Amino acid sequence: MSKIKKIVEPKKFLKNQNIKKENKGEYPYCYCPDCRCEECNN
Amino acid sequence: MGELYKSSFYNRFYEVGGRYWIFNTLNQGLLEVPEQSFRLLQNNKFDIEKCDQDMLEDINELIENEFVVFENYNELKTIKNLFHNDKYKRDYMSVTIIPTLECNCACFYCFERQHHIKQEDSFDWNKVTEGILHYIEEKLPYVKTLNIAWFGGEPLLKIKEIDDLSEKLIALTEKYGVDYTASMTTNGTRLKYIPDVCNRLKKNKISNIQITLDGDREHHDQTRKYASDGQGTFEDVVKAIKILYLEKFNVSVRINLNKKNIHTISNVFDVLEYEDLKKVKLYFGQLLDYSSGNTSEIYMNIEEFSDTIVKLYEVLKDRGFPYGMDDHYPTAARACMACRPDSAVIDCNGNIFKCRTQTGELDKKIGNVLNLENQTRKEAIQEINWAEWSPFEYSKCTECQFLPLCMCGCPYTLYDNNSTEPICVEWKYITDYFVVEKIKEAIINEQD
Repeated sequence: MSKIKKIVEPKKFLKNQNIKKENKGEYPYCYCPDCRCEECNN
Repeated sequence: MGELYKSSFYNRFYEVGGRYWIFNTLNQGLLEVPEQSFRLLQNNKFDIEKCDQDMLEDINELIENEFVVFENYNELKTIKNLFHNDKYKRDYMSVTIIPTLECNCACFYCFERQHHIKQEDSFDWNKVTEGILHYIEEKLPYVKTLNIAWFGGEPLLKIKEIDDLSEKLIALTEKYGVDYTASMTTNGTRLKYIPDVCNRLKKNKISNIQITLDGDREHHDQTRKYASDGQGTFEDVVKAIKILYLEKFNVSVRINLNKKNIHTISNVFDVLEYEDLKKVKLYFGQLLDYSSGNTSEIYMNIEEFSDTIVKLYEVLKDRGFPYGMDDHYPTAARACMACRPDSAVIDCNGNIFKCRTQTGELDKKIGNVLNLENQTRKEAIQEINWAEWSPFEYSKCTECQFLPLCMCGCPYTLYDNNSTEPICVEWKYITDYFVVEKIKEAIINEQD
């Protein structure tokens, strides 16, 4: 049994960083030359 | 050799009540840990296979909670990733609208007064309204929430214009299925003169209202005077706070602190208590020098300001004001609105700025809603300078444990000036106080 007690729950950044997130088109500023999304073509 | 780990760079260590606690400025978690683990993390790098068996469960939990990380993991990249992902999100759009540059007060430190700004002679509010609606509508297909912040001058001098534009903006957001929220920064003094004012504000969906006091009656009245007769505004401002509070608006009372009024703030608490306003949301503002005059006798530096607000929170706590520790437990800073692509400050002449503090500095505008197609090169450069300003260009900040909490502070003096160093904000000086307060609260809760 861990003896650590959480007073304030930490945020977690190193699990499922982006791979499980739905793409809602929230990152339109892409610098990838292969990207052909509507935003970048504008 | 096993996997090498290290204590997170963002861990801060506390011994309180003979017990051991770690707070992480990146994930904002707070843990109580056994002394053995506490000492191990203070020593930074370690090989997990060489740790005592009875510590392994604790260490695995510290890894799980990201207080312990791989030795070769660069945590700064996570901060950059969070910052940029959030900065370029387009689902929340915030636009500050300044329906008038005029004000019925004459506060000596007002940054707008320095520029002697006024409505242009060719001012046509109907045209500006059309321009604002067009500017916002073009962006709405990407947006989930539109927030309008009414600012001035004194916005309540133009309540009819606010009524009119709010109605059109709300209709526009309904057309696109976008949520609409609104806030207002006002001196409050016009409130009692406007018929049916609270219902009009509610109809305009203005739910958050910020009003400022500059100290107790004596000090407030020295700085915040009516332009017409030089009389102080304290009484009218307090009345306005009470009206809004009783009508259940989210009122934030900002108390500006300077060297001359800090000894009188208890008098402000007396007034708020007497008026049954103890539950109003309070916060303290650092009065900053936006003019070039010799004002060191008035303005506090950040160390003095931080020291003062800690003492004032102690007073609030002792006097039973409920606005307390949970509201000040450290949270992650986000990109400044001025650096976000869709945020804008639009004045009554249709000029678009990125930062409210630049209102009136016409050489700092990035365009005009009446002439969106013809942004000048200079205006485009201004816009790019804001968008591309980055907290990660300053080693002073990238090497600082407090970066996740402040993100380099206010970019106003930095965004177009490579030679200026960031000025630290209060988190560097008050984080430990509020973390220890949280720890003390946890200890007290155990005893209950």
